[in-house]
Amino acid sequence: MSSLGAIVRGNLRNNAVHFALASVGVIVGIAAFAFFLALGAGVREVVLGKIFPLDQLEVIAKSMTLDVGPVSLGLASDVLDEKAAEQLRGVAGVRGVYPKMKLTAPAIGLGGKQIIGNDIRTELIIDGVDPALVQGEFSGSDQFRVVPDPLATTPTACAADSACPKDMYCGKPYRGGPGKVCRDYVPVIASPHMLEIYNGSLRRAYNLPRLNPDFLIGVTLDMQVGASMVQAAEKDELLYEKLKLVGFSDKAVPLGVTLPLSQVARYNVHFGAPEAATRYHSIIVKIESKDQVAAVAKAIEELGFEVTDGGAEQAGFLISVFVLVFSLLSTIIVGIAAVNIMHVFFMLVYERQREIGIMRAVGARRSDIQRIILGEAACVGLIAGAIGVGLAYATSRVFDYVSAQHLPDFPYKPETYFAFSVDLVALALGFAAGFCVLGAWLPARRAARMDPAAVLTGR
Amino acid sequence: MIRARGIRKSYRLAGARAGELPVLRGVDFDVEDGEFAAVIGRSGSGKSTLLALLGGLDSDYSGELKVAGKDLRTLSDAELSAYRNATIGFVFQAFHLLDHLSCEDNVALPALFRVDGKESKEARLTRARELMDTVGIADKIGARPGTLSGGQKQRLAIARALYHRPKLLICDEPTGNLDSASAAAIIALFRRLRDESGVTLTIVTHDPTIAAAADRVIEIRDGVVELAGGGEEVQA
Repeated sequence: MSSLGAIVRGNLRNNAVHFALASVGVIVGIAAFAFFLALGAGVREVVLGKIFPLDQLEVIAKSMTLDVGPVSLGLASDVLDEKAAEQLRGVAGVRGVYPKMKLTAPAIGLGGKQIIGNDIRTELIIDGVDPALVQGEFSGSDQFRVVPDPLATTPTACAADSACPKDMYCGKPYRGGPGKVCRDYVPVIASPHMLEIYNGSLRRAYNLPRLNPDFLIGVTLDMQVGASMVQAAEKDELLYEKLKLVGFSDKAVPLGVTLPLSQVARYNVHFGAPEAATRYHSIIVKIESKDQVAAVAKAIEELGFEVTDGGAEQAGFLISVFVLVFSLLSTIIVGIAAVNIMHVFFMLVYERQREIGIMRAVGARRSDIQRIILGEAACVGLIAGAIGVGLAYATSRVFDYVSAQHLPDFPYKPETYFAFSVDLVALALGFAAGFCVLGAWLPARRAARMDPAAVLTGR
Repeated sequence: MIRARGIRKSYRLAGARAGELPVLRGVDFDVEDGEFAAVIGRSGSGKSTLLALLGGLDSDYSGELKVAGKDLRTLSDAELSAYRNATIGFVFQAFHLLDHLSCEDNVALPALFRVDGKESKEARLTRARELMDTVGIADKIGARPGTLSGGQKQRLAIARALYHRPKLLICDEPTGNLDSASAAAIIALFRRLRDESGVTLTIVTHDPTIAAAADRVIEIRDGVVELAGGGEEVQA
């Protein structure tokens, strides 16, 4: 084949102009194909990777409710336990199981001066997640761990932060009271969705600065567990903590702050019963591959649990339809280009009858002639495909530039709308080469069946 | 080398003249190993058709045609291709060189289709240069065929035909496009090649000088062999 390759290379050089003209349609078709596939993959990455992560499911206890006027009364337990987690670990296709726990006591946060110039007092929505769920996801993920129980240690009195060991602060005792003691910061993570909503909408309404996530790492917030703006909900005893933001993760609660699971369990036990330590409100199930999501969801439902529908399925379906429609259009363009390739190759085969006859006379088999023509077509396809992919990439960069410069910010606005993977490039090149080979099939067949005697002897 | 018995060949005509046009009507002749045979006859007598059959370019005929012990009608396309590649060499009136390849690449073209063991590019080019030297155009190494004179092109085509040391050289009017001096040089080259390598020569020609130089002349008239004998004998 390598020796035939020399002939193919020579013919490509010799007929470069013909091939260049023939490949214009392929270039345009493949550019459209790669552009829309990359756009679909990029949008899918944002929608299913950030807004609705599709490689995980959130499992909750099956709910049974009775609606009484405006109130929905729960008729069964709405919590999960360690036994449920164990059952979920046994489902085929499950890569990991990570319980989540909601704070069952009210909490208030006070802070924000470092960021926006004024302190804000707000009710806090708090979730607890297993630190293993976010391990390695961001640079400070190793700091996201439960801190020692203040009730199990003897606090050191202090007057200022400098009197405390590094990474501690001088603040109110855990259960309140006079004086100050050295305390651990409670690490928290926040959802990037909150930042997106803030930067995309809230900051405009309140004329606040745009926030950079890197700048926010290390920001602290005072928290009073048990306190509430709703007087009836307030507990008799309050716990005092200082939260420190260690990172952003889409595994965090979309609106609120997320603490290590055991930290939340500690508060729930403090304000409730000891068994609150293992009463989970949901469990995140990580799936081995996105293709297994449906099968795993079905298996989980068969175990008697409910899978929350975050809209991922519908979003995924819509994106697939979008990609399918545009891929189909691109395929039609490449298909028309393949017909053009066929015409050009028919013409070239006619023009090169003598050359083909000579090759047959010196020993080329029909299959050699066919391979030479198809090899040329494949090369034309690969070159045109590469140019098409390059054109798609260049267009995508222009698109991203225009978006960054001229489109207003909106939640989840991505830096790029496109995802050009190696697989996509290989697919586009294979597609281009495949269609060109298909277009050249009949001309190659005709060339292989040409009567060399008639051509060479002028009969 | 060649044994032809009762060779018949017709062409199918289409259109208003639809039907069979017989070209060879039972051709019998033999050519011995190392012989120089000239096939002569008027235009349309079937000479080129016979050449195509001998060269394995066409296997749609009836009768028995054995070349170098091979019954050509029974060979598959791959076997016929291997036969054309290794057993015979073609030389055409119109040279049939590939203008976009260099002279050496033209000579080495048969090597690209060799099925029993590929040669390195270096080996191919060495053999090609050696053959160009043999046919007297060593100074044209690296040139393109388009820059060569008619006689030089034909020498290049002969070098290509000799690449795989064929047993039989089949030539179709090899001097038809050459002036008399070049034609004489080509005839001398054929004789030298035959004497040095023992290759069998079968040349279709109108040229009486070639016919005169041949060991055997096969005259075809109206699709049958009219005369077969020594060249000088036929001239006489």
